[in-house]
Amino acid sequence: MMLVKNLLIAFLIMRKNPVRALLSMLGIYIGVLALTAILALHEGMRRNINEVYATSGANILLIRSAYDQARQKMGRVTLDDVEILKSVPGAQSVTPRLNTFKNVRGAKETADLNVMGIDQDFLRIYRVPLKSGRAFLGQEIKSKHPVALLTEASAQKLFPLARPLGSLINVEGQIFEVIGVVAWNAGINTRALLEEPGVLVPLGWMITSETQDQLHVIEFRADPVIPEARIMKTVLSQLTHGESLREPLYYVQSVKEFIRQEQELSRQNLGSLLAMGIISLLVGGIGIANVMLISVTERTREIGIRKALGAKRTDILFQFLVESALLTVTGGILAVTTTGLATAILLRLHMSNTPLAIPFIPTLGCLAITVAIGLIAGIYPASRAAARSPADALRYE
Amino acid sequence: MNEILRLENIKKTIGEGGAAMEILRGITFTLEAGEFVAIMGPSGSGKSTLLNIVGLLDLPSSGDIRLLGRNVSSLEENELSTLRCRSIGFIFQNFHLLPYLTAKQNVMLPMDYAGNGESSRRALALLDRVGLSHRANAYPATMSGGERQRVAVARALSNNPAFLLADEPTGALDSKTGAQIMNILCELHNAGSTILLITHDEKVGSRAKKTLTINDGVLI
Repeated sequence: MMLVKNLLIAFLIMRKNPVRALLSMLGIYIGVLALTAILALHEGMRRNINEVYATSGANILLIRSAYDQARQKMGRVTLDDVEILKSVPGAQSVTPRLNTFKNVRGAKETADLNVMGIDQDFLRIYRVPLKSGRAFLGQEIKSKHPVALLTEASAQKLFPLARPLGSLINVEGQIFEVIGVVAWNAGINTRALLEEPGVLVPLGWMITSETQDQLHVIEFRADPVIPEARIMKTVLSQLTHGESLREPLYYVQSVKEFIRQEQELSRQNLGSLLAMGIISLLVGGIGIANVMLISVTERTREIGIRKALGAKRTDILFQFLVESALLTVTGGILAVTTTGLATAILLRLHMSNTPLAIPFIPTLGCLAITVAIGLIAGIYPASRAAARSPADALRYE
Repeated sequence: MNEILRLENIKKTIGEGGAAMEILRGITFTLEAGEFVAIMGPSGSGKSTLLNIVGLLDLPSSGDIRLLGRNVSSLEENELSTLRCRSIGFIFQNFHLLPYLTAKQNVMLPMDYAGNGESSRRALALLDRVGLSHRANAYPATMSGGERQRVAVARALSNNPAFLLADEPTGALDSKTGAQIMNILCELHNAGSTILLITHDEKVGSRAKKTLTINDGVLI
């Protein structure tokens, strides 16, 4: 009951001098901002893993060519390897990809776009939704029809006014007919571990003598029942036809491992953010203690009146502690709100590859920390207030 | 008659060594239940120091204070707070209302510290008694001096104190509103309240039923 009254009074006093209150909670605000940003990124990375594995079991491998240092020889990943991988026992899908930035011309506009060669399974495996038009037919991919899909962003760039469907685009001399527009989203980047492309064309168009028939990467998915280490071994031995000498020419990477490494890296970056957060909280706490000291001095007469009317030491102590904690927790709540809004905006504008999210319990923990800081910062000012002699405090001008 | 307050040879010294000053030099008097006593004296006479000691805001250097028969001159600060809360109703010269609380909330404050339930209803009744029930939700800044002092009187009555301690209650008011406040005090006295009034103003002091004069730290 007394807590409710004290909170109400603390709120009234904060409202009476809002600028001072806001300035005094700035340090806490920045500190909690850093902490909640860490939480949001961390939670995002956790969901990233879940997103990838929710797609299909746990066995996703990426196969790239590698450079053999010992023999000074560059490896090659080609369509032949795709065929080999398709015959590996337990294979669920084999998705080759090849992309380059090319100059693309639309009706009037031109743009440098990421042109990606894909095969038949790509749209299905990565769950790329069509916004309009249709997807590639199997036949169009096999016999290299001059057809293309645009993403919404590139359709907007190349055809700001006209309808892209049925229009022609010129990709460095080669004409393609636009047969559809896909609704690309950040989730696809996560699932496919790639950057958003601008134009999708049948894979064959990208395999040229210029690139020596090489693919960038083959994504290979296998039955999750098979242990990852075993499937990696099988894949490598099939690709090299059992010749261990050729093994250094391939780089077989587990997506699970890849994400783990990425996260390790991000975690190190989060460390500096954490340090900043802690320092801000420390400085913020000192600021709060300072403001509370000023407040206690300004309100000496009030302390005298309250004591004359029967307030005990603990009543005064409690009142100022509540005020201090209210200041810090308000700063914390403002920071959590800011992070929440920023997260929502970043996701809305597709500006984050990580599905940022604010985890509930750790955020509550952050707010509990701000309450604790408020209480600690308030102890000294509040005990000074409580120790005032009522007669002196009443006479204070 | 019942004895409310008894001061026995109260002395108060401020400062130490050569700079020590004896402000009160042996005060003895008794306040009986139902009395309306004024202690008069010019500034510098030791009036304020006596007020602090009578109000249990400060302890004497020597001598005994008995409140309702209990010796309180050596109590702990918290026990003194409890006694002030339940037994003494303060009325100050400058009203001393808390600016961010409404009239009603100000009246409720001592009851909250005493841990009384139903304080809201009682606060309204007390404001009604000083003719301010219509201003219950007004803030002090929007009230006239007379209204503020009436709120302060209602606040002083809130815990049914053993006596009211009024320190220059009309000092910050013009003579007309000052007279109104004195009328309220007289009404309270007629209704049975015990009142100790401390003032330098002869006209105000003359409204009390008994007058004592303090000069140079002694009652004469």
